[in-house]
Amino acid sequence: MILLIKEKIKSFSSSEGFRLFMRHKRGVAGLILLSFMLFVALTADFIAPKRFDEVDPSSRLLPPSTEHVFGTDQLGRDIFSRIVYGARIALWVGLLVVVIEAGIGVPLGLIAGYYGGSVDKFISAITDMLWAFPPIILALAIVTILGPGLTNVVIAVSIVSWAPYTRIVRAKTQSIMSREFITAARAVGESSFSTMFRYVLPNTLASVIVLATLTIPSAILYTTALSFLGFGAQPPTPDWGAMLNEGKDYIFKAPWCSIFPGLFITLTALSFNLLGDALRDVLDPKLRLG
Amino acid sequence: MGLLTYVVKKLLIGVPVIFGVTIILFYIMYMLPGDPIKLLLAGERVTPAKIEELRRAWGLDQPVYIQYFYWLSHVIRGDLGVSIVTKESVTLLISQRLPYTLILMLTSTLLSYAIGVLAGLITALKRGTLIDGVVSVAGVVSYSIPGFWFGLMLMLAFGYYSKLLPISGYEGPQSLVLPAISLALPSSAYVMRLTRAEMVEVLNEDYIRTAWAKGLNKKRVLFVHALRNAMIPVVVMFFLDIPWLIGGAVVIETLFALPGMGRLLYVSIIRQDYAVVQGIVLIITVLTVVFNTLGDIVVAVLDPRVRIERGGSL
Repeated sequence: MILLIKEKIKSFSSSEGFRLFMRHKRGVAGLILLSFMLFVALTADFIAPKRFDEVDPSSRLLPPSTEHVFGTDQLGRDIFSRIVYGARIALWVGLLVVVIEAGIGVPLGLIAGYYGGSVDKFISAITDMLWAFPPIILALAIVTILGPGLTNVVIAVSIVSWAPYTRIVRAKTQSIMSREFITAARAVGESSFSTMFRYVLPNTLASVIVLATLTIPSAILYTTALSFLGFGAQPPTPDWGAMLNEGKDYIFKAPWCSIFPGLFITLTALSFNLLGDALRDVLDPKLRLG
Repeated sequence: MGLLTYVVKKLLIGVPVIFGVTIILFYIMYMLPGDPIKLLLAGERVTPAKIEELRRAWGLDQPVYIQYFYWLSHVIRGDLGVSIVTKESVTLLISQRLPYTLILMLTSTLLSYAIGVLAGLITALKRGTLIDGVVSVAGVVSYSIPGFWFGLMLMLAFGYYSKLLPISGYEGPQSLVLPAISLALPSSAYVMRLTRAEMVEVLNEDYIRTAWAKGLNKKRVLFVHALRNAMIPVVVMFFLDIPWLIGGAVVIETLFALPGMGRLLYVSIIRQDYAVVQGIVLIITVLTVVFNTLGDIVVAVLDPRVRIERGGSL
């Protein structure tokens, strides 16, 4: 078993794609940055000196010092600890949004591209309609119905932004449908369902992976923007957007309350953007987004 | 397909989209929790008979599709209803705020296209050099920065430490500088990226090689032959960018306390003033559809191939 894994790793690390990726300096930088964020998120319990909701009235709005590396907020909470726990939320939210988006968008794209005709027209019409809504505005409208909260924001952002998955998977499916192996699969009596998921889907995966990597940063930016407006994560959740929402009232008195959460949003979004660009260059150089 | 047929077809497609949007929007508002009559009365004590009378007066006793047509017939006449909180006409409220938002969007768009196209051209012409590397990385960083956080940092640097510019409220055009920059930063990076990609692609085309081979001077090849074609997708993006900019404007106007439509939307959501929310979302969506259609038309004018390629699939 271990030998098999070793063999796999060996064949992967000597593969053309891997070597291309390793030569992509920005991609490697993105991967390192992302690994750092993941490390912070996973080991939060060990890294954070305080709990994220530990209030200390005697040390409110303290500037960064050796005791509080990033300073403290209006309730005397340690900002460094909150940022460290916030990494979990940001990465989890980004991942969740992308999984929901792909869960809606990919099957619709497969069906539209596979069946064509009126099914395709119907699905494309919905996709176009969704495209006509400015995402943040629609997300705001949905949050108005569902009420504030991080889960509702995740749902709202996912609902408004699955359309790119449908468009790209549909286009890929259409180009795959004329290939011989699809004709062969159908000739030996594979069902539509099985053809779609066993033969077409794997061939669209490279594009979906690239798209997913590149939509995680916008998912993180949208959800933090909604939290910043006060519609997302509610206190004392250490969501970076919510921290900015609380910190903006003290922007001049205690700028560190705002500087660090924003910096970490930027670094996280940057890591995915760098990685996504590199993956596109390696996996699917012709992919056009938007 | 002729240009005129194409334009008419595009316009005709825009109409059902707008209708679809109004239906979705009406339904969203219909599903909202809370009784609009109770919201309207705001705690006033009245008899059940009076409530029933009001319900009938507002048409709320009718089935939902009748209510929709009732609402739509008013919308078409430019009547978006009345704010539950201030009792003012929604149309009036929005028309007072819209100019600020439009000016903000216009300045930030001009700014982001000026910076983006220039940076894109430089990086494309200096491809593979240090300048290209540095500017491209700066681009990726720019669209990874949350606009609202960048706005906060600008406030801190220019409004507080150096006191050069106003940071909150509207005191004249200078109040729009920081919001416009915050809004322009991420979009300028996208413009740069697209300009660079298109320019690099066009420079590899045969007709550019022909132009060089003919011995045309550098300026002519780059600006007349290459730039003109590379700019087509950039121009289209200009129109498609609008919804994203409006979304950003909500956040930025709220941050800088500008009296625009975005901030009105934010305030109305907080106050649960649904008639205003519905009106604003409708206006924004119609604007988006209009700009998308304009984008399609402009690209068809600039690039005749599109009319044929896209004409078939409609």
